[in-house]
Amino acid sequence: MLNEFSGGLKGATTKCLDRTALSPARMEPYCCSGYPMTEDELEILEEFIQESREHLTAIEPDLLEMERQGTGTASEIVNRVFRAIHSIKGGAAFLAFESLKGFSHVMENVLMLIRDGKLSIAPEVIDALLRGVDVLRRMVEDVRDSNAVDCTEERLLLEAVVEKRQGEQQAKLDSPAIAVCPAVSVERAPTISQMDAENSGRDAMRLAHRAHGKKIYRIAVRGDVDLPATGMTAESLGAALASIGQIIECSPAPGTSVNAAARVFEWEIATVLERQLLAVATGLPERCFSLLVDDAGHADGKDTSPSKGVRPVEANAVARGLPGVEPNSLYANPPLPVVSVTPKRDAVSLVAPSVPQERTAPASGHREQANEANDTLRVRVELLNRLMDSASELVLGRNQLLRALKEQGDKSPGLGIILQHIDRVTTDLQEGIMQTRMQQIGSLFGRFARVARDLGRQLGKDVELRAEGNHVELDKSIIEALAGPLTHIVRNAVDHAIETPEERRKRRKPEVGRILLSASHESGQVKIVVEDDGRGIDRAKVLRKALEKGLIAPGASEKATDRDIVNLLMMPGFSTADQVSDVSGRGVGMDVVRNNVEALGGQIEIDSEAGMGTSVQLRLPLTLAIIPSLIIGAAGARFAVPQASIVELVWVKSDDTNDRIKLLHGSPMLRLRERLVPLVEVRDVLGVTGSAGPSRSASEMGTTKDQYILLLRTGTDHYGLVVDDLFESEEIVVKPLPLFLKGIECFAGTTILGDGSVTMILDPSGIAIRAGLRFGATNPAEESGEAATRADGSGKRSVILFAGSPAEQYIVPQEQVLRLERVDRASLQRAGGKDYVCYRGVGLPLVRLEQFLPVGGVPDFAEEVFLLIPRMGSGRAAEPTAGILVWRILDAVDIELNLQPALFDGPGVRGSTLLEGVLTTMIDPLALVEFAQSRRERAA
Amino acid sequence: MKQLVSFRVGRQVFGVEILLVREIDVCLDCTPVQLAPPYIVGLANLRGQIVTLFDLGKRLAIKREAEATASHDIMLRSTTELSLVRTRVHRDDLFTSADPIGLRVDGIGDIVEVDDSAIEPVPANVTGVEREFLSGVALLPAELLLILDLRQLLIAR
Repeated sequence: MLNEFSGGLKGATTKCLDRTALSPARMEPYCCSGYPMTEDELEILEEFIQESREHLTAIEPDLLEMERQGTGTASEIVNRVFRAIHSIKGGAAFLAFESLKGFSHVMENVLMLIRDGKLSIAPEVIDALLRGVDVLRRMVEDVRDSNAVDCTEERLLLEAVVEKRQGEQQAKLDSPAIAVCPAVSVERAPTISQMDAENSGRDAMRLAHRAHGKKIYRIAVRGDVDLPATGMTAESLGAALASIGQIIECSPAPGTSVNAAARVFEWEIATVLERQLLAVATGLPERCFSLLVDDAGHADGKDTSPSKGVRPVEANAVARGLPGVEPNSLYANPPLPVVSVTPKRDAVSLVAPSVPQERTAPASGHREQANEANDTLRVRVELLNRLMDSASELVLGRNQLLRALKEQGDKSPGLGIILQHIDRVTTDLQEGIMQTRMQQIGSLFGRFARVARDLGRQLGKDVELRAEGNHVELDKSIIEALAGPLTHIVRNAVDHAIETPEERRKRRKPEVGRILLSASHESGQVKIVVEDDGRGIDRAKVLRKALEKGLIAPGASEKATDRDIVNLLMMPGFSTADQVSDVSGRGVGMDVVRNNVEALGGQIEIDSEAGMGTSVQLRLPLTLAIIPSLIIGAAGARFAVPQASIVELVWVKSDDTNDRIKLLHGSPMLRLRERLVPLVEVRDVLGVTGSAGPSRSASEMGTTKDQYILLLRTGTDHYGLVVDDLFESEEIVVKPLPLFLKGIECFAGTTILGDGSVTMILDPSGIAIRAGLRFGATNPAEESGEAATRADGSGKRSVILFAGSPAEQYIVPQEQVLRLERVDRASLQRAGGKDYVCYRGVGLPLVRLEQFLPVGGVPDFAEEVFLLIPRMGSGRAAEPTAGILVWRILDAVDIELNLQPALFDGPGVRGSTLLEGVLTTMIDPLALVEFAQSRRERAA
Repeated sequence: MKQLVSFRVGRQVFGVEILLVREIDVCLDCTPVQLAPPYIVGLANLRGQIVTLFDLGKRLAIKREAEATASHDIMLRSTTELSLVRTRVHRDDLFTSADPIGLRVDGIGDIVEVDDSAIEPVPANVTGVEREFLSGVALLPAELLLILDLRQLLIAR
């Protein structure tokens, strides 16, 4: 890497000194050479980002291990972390990412203190380091803007930690070593200064030059004596020097105006020239030049006295820059003897006693790493995806081939063997390529230790997270998709399940809460379990909250099974957190988790024992690309239904239909072994009319012919999809929906069948949503059962109470209302003599009660009104065709309905009743709307 | 100097930059997609790739007298394909979609070369076609060619 880069570096040194050139704005897309990045340089940059990411990922578990082991931590671990940070720093220095380099340097210092035993490992220290890792990660992620990342807080944290510990260990610091090497105390000063960062930058340059066989000189020119002798000004001397070598440093900075006679001008220069030649070339006496480092890496002992203490620091910085420098990574020929270069060699070894070991350790360790690196190859994920696609297509082609040639195989004997061979090879190929995309789940589990720890500390709980089955492999895309849900589950466990230490003590549990993450293969699927030994799910609390939020009907709560409790937990908007802690408890979690898991074709289950613990189990398929599916015919076309969603196929014979298919509230239900399952017709959901076969109205259904019904599962709910034909089972390659069709919820993707036709893949949950199916915590059978008994109008009913005008109020049965929406007066409009409301981007016909009933209307002063949209019969696409204008929504109540004859006649009027002394009329909104619709059409 | 593929929708002649065109096929077998926007004819299988076919007449809201007999599908290049071409040709104003798209049209004409100077902005009295989908008008000897602006066409509403 260096060889390609040094070219840029060589020409760049003078520019590097010009700080303004390195302002963040100018970084893109130029490297420090000021030239646009070549392809090679871009590649180097990408490699750096990749490697840094890996380093940062590897550091975290090590830091946690360090925290666990405390002062007894194996030095191997500390060294590993140190080396990782150092590599990042080195790369950052090369690519001139100043902030990244500076901050890694800060972290490196802390780690060095730890490594040398000068700083003991305490939770605050690990905290600070972990936060530092976060900063580094942020910087690496957007590396070109890394200079803009604000890391002052973390920096101060690290410095504070060091300062605090240093105060405690001041005695140790006052060792002879320090006296010999005052530079050490400069480095160790609590303020990890900017100078350090600058020096390291120059170190890198110096090392670069040395590697190119240049010598580094220090030139000290006295303004009163030497300068006049040359007959030049300081500037022109500087220019002359620049022409015979590369200037690494110069003081005072160029451009500052000084009293020449009073100053000593110094330059540090890299050149191939011998000292004598330098003297001749510049006209300066030889004594002005002191060789710092020659091309073989040996120092000249004759140094002029340091000014401003710069040299000792810089010499040590040079030394410091070296330990842990990976021989292969930065330089072609690491001049290891350089450590012996500085006159303060003893101090160096005292300062970093482990340096000699340090040097050998990385060398050998790196050699091993290098060997391992040769066995692996980095491949772009995009390429793997393409391979995966091709392999999948090949598999399907093979299937077709086998089918088509099955008969042929008998006729030509050789053919059978060839087919077998192709079959075998294709299987091997597919499995092999699937393997390339497999990643160990350990890579995901690894993060959770940190998540649990941080969260636990935040909440004052002691939590230990253990992971098992790290070697279990999953397709990369599944692992990525799992990260979110698993994080949520783990956070839930720490937040809600694990008790505080006192509580645990009271219950005679170990104070440290335990969370176990395990992964295993089970019957062709991967099972992931998150188990904790916390308080378990409090059944009563869940039911209480559910009742509060109206997620469950009052009567059903006693009969709620464990299944129902779990379902309630996973409803949107549910949360038993008493305070919505910052952490989790916003109640948006578990339902999203379930959706995500199911979107992957998996299932989620929760088991819990009060007081003992909870276990969340996820079951996932091994791969996403090819799924088994069932091809069905409906609405004149063919569709694919993923096998994973199909629970059962039900064939209802024509004579049985009356028996088994019932109608309730206009919606068809299937009686299936003591359950009533809602039915959905494909053509209804897809809005297809006039397709092959007579369009069936709900009442006609079930009388014409045999019915094929697919019992589909969405989450833990079931419904039946009525189809016209069943074709075969096929393994299909799932292709994503094209951009223009992404919004259609009924389809999960597309595929190409064996005959080349494009076929849509149905999405069971999407269909359920579109069909307006609402699954509650209550059993659908229960719901329909209750509804049946209420058909005569008595018994308790859930109704919506609203005011149509200041004078009248009405009730509408809740199940007949699809939606209630608030609308602005401004969105009410009139066109062609009819009322409309702007609703979701369309003009929805509006029904005013006073148009059809002898009642008052919504008062003019009302700024805000409501729209009541009736349910157009469940089981069919519930596209609202009109809305009823309502003044105020008063309440949603359960009342004992005692219907009296209506006070007036009109469409949709069902009766009247007395509610708290107020006469209330009961309306059937659908009837009203349909009446209004027919009126409208007649008028049009 | 632009090279355009000319084609007919209804009675109107249009043109689209040739650099944006991958190939032209006779009408492909197409699977209609229920619940799709009305201007999407459906999906077609083009050698393993799934192409979304647009009914250009509907998209451009062109009145066609009889049931239009579509004859050809113009397959557009996707962004990845276009970027391969663009580096050779140095054009910044070409825009296409990430997904493969095809335009179903009523007739294919010749490839016409149009001088940049012969291109005018869309006149105010061009109606009957969604103006926002046009980037300009080319004055050809025999007729007026409306140049399609794919940028607007390919934004999923």
